[in-house]
Amino acid sequence: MKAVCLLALVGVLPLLAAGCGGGGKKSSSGSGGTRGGETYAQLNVVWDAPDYMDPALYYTVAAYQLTNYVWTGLVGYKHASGPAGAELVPYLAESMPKISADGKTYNFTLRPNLKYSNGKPVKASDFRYTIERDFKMDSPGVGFYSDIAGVSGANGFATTKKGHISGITTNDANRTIQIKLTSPRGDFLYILALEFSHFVPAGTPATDQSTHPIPATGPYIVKSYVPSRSFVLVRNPNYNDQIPTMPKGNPDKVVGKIITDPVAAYQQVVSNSSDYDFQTVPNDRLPEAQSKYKDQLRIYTNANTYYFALNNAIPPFNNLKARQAVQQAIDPSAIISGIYGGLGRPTENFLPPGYPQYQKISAWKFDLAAAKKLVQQSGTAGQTVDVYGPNEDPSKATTEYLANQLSKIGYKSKLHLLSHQVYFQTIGNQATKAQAMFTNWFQDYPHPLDWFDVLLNGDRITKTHNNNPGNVNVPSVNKEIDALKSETQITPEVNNRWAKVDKDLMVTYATTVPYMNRSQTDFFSNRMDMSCYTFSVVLYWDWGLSCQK
Amino acid sequence: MLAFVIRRLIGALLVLVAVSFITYLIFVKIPGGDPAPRIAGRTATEQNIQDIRKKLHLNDPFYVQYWGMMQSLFSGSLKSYSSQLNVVNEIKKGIPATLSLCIGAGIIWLFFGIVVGVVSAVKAGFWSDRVITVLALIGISLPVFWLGLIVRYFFAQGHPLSVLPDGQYVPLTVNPYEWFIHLIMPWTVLAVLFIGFYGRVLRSNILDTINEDYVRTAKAKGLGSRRVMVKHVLRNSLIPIVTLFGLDFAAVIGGSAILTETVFDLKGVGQYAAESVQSLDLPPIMGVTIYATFFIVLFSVVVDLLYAWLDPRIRPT
Amino acid sequence: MATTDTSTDFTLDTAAALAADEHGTIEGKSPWLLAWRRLRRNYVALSFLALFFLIVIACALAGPYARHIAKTGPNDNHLGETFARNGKQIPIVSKGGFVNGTFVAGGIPVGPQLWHAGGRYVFGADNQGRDVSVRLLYGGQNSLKVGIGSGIICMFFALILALVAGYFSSWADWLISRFFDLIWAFPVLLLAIALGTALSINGFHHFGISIESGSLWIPTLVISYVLIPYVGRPLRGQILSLREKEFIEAAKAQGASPVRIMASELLPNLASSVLVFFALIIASNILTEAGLSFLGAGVQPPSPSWGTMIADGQDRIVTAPWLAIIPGIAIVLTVLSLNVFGDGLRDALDPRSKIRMER
Repeated sequence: MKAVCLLALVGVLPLLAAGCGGGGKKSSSGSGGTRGGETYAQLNVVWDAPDYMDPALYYTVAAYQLTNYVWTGLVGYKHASGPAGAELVPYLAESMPKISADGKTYNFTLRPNLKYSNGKPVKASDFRYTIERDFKMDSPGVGFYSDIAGVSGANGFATTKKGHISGITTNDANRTIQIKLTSPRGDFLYILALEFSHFVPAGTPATDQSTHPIPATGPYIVKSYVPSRSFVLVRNPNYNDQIPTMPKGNPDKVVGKIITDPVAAYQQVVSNSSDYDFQTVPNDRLPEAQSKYKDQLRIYTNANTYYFALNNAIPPFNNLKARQAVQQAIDPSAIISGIYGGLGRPTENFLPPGYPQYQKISAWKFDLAAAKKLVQQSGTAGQTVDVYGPNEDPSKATTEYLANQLSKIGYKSKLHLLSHQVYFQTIGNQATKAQAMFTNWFQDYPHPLDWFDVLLNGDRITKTHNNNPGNVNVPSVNKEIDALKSETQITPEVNNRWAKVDKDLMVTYATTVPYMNRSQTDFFSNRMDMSCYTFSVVLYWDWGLSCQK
Repeated sequence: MLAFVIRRLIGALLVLVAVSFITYLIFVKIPGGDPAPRIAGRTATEQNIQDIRKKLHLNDPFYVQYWGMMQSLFSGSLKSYSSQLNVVNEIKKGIPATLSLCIGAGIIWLFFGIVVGVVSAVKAGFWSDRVITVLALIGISLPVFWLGLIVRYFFAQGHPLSVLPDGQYVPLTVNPYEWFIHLIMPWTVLAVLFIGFYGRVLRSNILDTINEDYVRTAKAKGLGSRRVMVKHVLRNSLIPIVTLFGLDFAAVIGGSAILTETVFDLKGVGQYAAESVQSLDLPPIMGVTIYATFFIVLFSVVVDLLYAWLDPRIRPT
Repeated sequence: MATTDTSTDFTLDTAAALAADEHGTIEGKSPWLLAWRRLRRNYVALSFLALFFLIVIACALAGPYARHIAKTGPNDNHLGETFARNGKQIPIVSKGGFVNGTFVAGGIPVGPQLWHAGGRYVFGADNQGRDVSVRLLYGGQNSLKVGIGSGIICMFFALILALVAGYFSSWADWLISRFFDLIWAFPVLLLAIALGTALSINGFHHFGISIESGSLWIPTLVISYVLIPYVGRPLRGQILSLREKEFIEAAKAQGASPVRIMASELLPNLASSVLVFFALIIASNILTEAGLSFLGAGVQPPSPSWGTMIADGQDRIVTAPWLAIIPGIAIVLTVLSLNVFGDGLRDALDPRSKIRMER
């Protein structure tokens, strides 16, 4: 595969986020790269609690947005706003890999003289150690690596955790890494950019090292981390600009207070005790923020979809008309307006806008009378529907809305609210027999496989921890998804096929009810120079490129 | 006396075991409470989940797991299911906030409770007694979390009267002034509830004591009324108050301050407990329950001893 | 020493004053009659009792109110709809979102309309467009049901346990006292939250009993045991001292069975304590239910309760303060009226104030 095809892999993502909102100001279009010479001493932030500070384990934006400057992998995302921010560029690798014609072998060469923050050299064999460590620690990301040779199967590394992964071979002297897959995957390079692929030194213990931060390969190191309380990032003394495709970073030091209460976090910035509020400004304060602090507020819509899953396997929603009725009973703008304070965009697609495979669907109209009629025609009127949702607002209010709308169109809805800690595993269990569920998905990487294959592929339905709680199972679509999986080239034809998958699942078979792409806020103190604001579609607010007045 | 203490301590130990076991049973029987999928995450493989179950001994019978959990709790290695943080560490981190809140509020409510009790007893029957009684009754009728919300809104969140910081806890060792003003609102809110109650109990105690024969004797002897008041009446009326305070204080440290801590986001032990319960996170729940019960039982024994020492008529049975 | 208002005085001359009241003729009056007279003179207590009944009646009328005046149910959302006020159509929840690329913050529900909207949204709307006054009344039904129900159960068990422990003594007494100790030692709020949360997931389906997860029985049962020792112990103490009195010995000598003695001799003497405790327990349980519901461990959505309404309202305290303030006021008024009346009842029944919940 030639380099130009690899860029086509990412395609042309139209302005996904930063430009779409923020009180009328278009914040950055095509300003693209790094700005040098804008360093400043300290950035004070108020942050949400990361789940872990160990690249094998963390899986939240709170961790990721912070530590993408600390640990790095073979490839990573370009630090730019707009569509360029979804491009993959080589980080620790010297250049983008040579991929074999059958798409099953990837060959990388590491840059020379790479060092960890403790001064020790970065070796090619560290890559294999990193992936094996993920498996030994039962990392949430291991599923992504199942197509590497030697991983799956009864004797594979995933089961035995003994020996080595045969599909990864490295040569420290030549700095080469070769990865063999059992079948080609169109999204494999994105997987190599995930945090689970970020290099750790060989010999790092296979246990959670969050409080003993692992040596870094990026421009910053985690100097201290007190879970639920604070963290401090400082410059990596042994970085020496070893990754030219990454910005060096403007702040010398990042001091973070972990405050989970969004109101308190907001107040910190208002009172200038802090320069950045990670959490979205609560609805209660949004009008005030919009009027008083308009210039310090930025609104973005990242790649996510909020949808209601309807259980296609059991009555009443195994009936097409019943599902169509629900589509017409939901008013997305009402939900966005009332429950999310306006922070969202209505959608009828499963894929988020901005993907090259996205083609806008406008098939449904909010019409309660028509919905009621459909319910009557389907013969399912009067049935009990168990509606499940998390017990925390605003998801709770959204679920109450769903239950109420179902009652309005002729069902007997019964509400079940669960702590979000146990929520997904409960609706992922077939035995729960949930019939209508609140759920959402935030992209892992910008590729439709991360959406359709993970969430709506009928061939991957499981009895427990099912990621397809709606049991969406349309055989023709399943086949198409599997066929598209090995398409490593993104062409307009491939994009159209994905768009058709979207349409089939959302309209023709009405399997799922998407309603919103949620928007969030970045809120800054007046010390920050907003002309430096860079929003990356994958890395979100790029704090390394920020500057102060 | 020694036999009494030993018997009470054994009883206390039995209570601790019973409490922890009951708590454990409640949560082990919860469907959906299986921690393995939760720890493994949404995109976990079946293999992951099986491995985690093995690591946490979740396939063992429940009494084996209970014993295992107790062992790791007391050896300080118990980890929470939702966040993998060490339970004992988290409790230790929360203790300064909880202690600051409870000791401060305790001093306030004891002091004002006594003042209210004495004043309303002395002025019994007059309108000032009535007013104080009604105020005290309002105090014990307020939902503490609601009062906290209102107070927070008016004094800390953008309302023109906002001068106080909005919740959060600043350790005393970091900045004494900040520590103090961050705690003013929580102290007041927590104390209001008890001031009313204590004032009224003291009032009835005083009025009862005034009717006692020995007081009349003292008066008949010609002692000044102030001296009678302080030396005889007050001392005897305060005894039940002291024991009451001991038990309430234990309960508050043990976590009754849950609502106050949650509303003001003080991140004390009570808030940790509430969050753990809401997340169905069994290890911290066990940890906090043991911690709370321990305090309650300890103070209960201390109070019994104190009561016996203060009032020679009461002897331990 | 005040002699003007003898109804709530604790002074030495109470008895003398009352006797003087009766103009010297010392008839034997039943203690109940005397108590009633004292209570009758306590205007404050009586007016608060009336307030309590008013609240109960208002909540009982939730249904007719919802149907005829507010014209909506407690769980019906009206997101995206408008209502009429002075001839104009006003959105119930303000519109927000991206309009022509500009972001408009929305989601602010309308405030209390009182009588301006023809009966709709008298106390305003919540963030799902539901009518706050309708939810307030239905929520009151739930809060009162749980508070009173748990009070009855608590009183019942505390009484039985105290009777058995106090009368039969020895091992039954020891066992029940340890049981009281256990509950007392438990961090009760924590246990109530734990049980409430745990049972709210799937309900309780063991031992032949089946309770659905949204049922009001769960918070009712969970709260009822909390105060058992607080009431049970002083009752037991009272029974222990009553047991030694002569009239019990007389009844025993007459050959009365223990049950008969408990029913006809002990209970009447406990009645005043029971009555006073009952009022105070209900007050305390309403507060506990509010606290539990606030933490999500009590009444489950979508059923309203005053506690859940405050929880829903706390996130909107700046833009829609009535959402949190109004249910709180409802709680305070209800609990206060019970406390004041309970207090007055105690003054009337036992001027020497020996009835006290032990803590």
